[in-house]
Amino acid sequence: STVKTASFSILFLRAGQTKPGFLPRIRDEFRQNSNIKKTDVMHIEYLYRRGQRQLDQLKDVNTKQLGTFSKPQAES
Amino acid sequence: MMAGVSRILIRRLSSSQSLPPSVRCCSRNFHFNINGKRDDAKVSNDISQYPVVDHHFDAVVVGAGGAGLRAAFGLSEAGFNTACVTKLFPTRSHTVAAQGGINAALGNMEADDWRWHFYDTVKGSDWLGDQDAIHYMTEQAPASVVELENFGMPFSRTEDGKIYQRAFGGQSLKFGKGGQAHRCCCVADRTGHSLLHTLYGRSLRFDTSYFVEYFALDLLMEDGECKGVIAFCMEDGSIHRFRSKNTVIATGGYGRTYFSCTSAHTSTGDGNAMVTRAGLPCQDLEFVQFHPTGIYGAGCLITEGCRGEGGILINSEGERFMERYAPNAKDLASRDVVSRSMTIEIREGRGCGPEKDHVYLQLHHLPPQQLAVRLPGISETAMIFAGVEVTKEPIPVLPTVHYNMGGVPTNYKGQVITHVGGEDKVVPGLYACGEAACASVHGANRLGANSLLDLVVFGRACALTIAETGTPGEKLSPLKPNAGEESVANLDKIRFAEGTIRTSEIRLNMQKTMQNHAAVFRTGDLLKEGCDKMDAIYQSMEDIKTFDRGIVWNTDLVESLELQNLMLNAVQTIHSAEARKESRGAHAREDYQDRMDELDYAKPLAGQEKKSFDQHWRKHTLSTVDIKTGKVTLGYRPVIDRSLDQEECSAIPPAIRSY
Repeated sequence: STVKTASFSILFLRAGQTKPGFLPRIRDEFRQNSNIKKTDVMHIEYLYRRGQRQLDQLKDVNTKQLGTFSKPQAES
Repeated sequence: MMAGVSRILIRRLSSSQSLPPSVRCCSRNFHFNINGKRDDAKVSNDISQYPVVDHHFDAVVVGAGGAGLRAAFGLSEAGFNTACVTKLFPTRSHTVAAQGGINAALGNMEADDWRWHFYDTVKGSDWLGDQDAIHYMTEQAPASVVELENFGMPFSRTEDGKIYQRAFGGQSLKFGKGGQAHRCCCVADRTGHSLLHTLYGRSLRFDTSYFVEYFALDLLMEDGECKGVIAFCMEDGSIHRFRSKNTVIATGGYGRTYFSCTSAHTSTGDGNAMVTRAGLPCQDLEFVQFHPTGIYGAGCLITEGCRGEGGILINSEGERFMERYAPNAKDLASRDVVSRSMTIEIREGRGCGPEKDHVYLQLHHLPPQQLAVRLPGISETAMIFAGVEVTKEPIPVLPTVHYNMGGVPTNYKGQVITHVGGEDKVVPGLYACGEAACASVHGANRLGANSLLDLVVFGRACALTIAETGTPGEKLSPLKPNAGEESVANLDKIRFAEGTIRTSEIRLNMQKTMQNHAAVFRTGDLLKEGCDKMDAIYQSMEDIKTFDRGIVWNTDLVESLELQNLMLNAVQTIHSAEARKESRGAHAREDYQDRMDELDYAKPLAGQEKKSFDQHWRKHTLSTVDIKTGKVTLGYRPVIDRSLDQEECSAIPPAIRSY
């Protein structure tokens, strides 16, 4: 499953290469979910299904860039 | 030498790294950034971060019900790169619940003419409908129904294989003089279901991009022009900005502002609220239709088609009371007339049941075979929700909120308009169709089976207008990088709301207030009290409390956003109702029982002097809201009395409305 994740992440990185803002987020998402146990199949499969949909959207020619709206909670 | 040049370039780039040009600060403390996280972020957990994906399309349609789907695939057919953003899967939109049918002067049951349909609709609207839009709709009706049939819609058929048309409320022949017309094309009593599934199936042939379970938050407006929509993906919590030159609003009505309604829980007036937040007016929101036959208690809809097939309404004395109120049309009078009649019967003590608070719809005098073939859906609904066997017992019914005649004001082409300096002015880039729009074809009261027609005709009209005024692949005008920031700030505020009142409680307060103060019959004092109560409830939204802090499938958040939308619709509805001092169509005032037109049409017109615009009420209400204070401001706009072509179809001058 680590091999599958690696190849899945490569697909994402390739798709997001030409569109600004995606690569850091893709890396973060994969890093964040890297500590899921191998036995937690339901969770992994859910993330994989969701990831497939997100990948299709990323590859779509109409998706142009990723930005972030962020708010430091300390300031509120 | 090349190396030297490149070294200078690199230095120039690195010196500008200290303040990336894409960072824009704002007063709400939200920062928009393109290059991932801010480098000076200390700990990532401290920051509320929302990734926002930008999409570019030629056209965006918000809503995937009958009108939204028709507009979306109409646009795709015309070659436009179209996105359809919907919070529900297309076949779950509320169109699926429509039962009755779709009106069209096909002439299958008897000789018919679309001009008679035009007359019926104008009269049904109590002369508040814009006659050019009504002309457009009724003339296009036969072609639209034939188009639906060609898409594969399984209409009920007559013996010779033509589309079966049933009698429906308010439909007559020969401009009201030829008796009941049979003009409503239907699919048993599940027309909306078939319509939506047919349209959905058809839409799959085209390459529209569907964004399902994306909740549209706001319009992206700049310099008075609509440049797209910002939406929130419920599945993964990401924000999406759909930039396009053409945005179509097809988000449906807002029945859920009332305690008892036939609408789905998702009918929350999102489109009207988006338009209000963009500073644009909504039109005629005080006109809320009470459908005569909603099941007592459950509120589920029993179609007018029952009365079309021969069903009758009876009171506790077993009398067919509609004969007294509408001697000609009887039970098939216009819906507002029937609702009022039922309410009067109940008020005068002739209601049925232990509390005498409803009336009965009797169907058991009809042949069981006819009930099984033409009305299978309501037979089942009555059994499940009222425990009634329709072939043996009558169904307990009560007038229930069903439809919103008001909405986003448009012209007959589907373009959203405002009223500036006494003239209608088009808002560039924005269109609306379906129940969310107010063209206005329904005026003060909608005739049954005209809504499904409205959906397909104006859905197509929006697509045609966009195809006429634009070209596919047009370059988008620039938009400021942090567009949509207020919407994200609001989302964040609601997500972490820590007040004292929960969403469901505020919602219930609003629904009960609207039900008690803005019902079938309205009085000045009750409305005024309702306005004050609604203003207080609007303020109580500041104290809202939500429980789910997550971002994935946060239904608490979505319901709270929907409540914000409902609230904007509710305050405009009740304030507009309080201000309108007359009775017209579905807006019935006990203290102002007559219609107040520019001339008194009950008396001979010769010698009468026309009242000035601010002295009569035959005008559209335009309402806006100050979002922070909840204060409603009202303006007015004249009704369009000319048809599209006086020679083809002459406009109908106002007259007394009786059935």
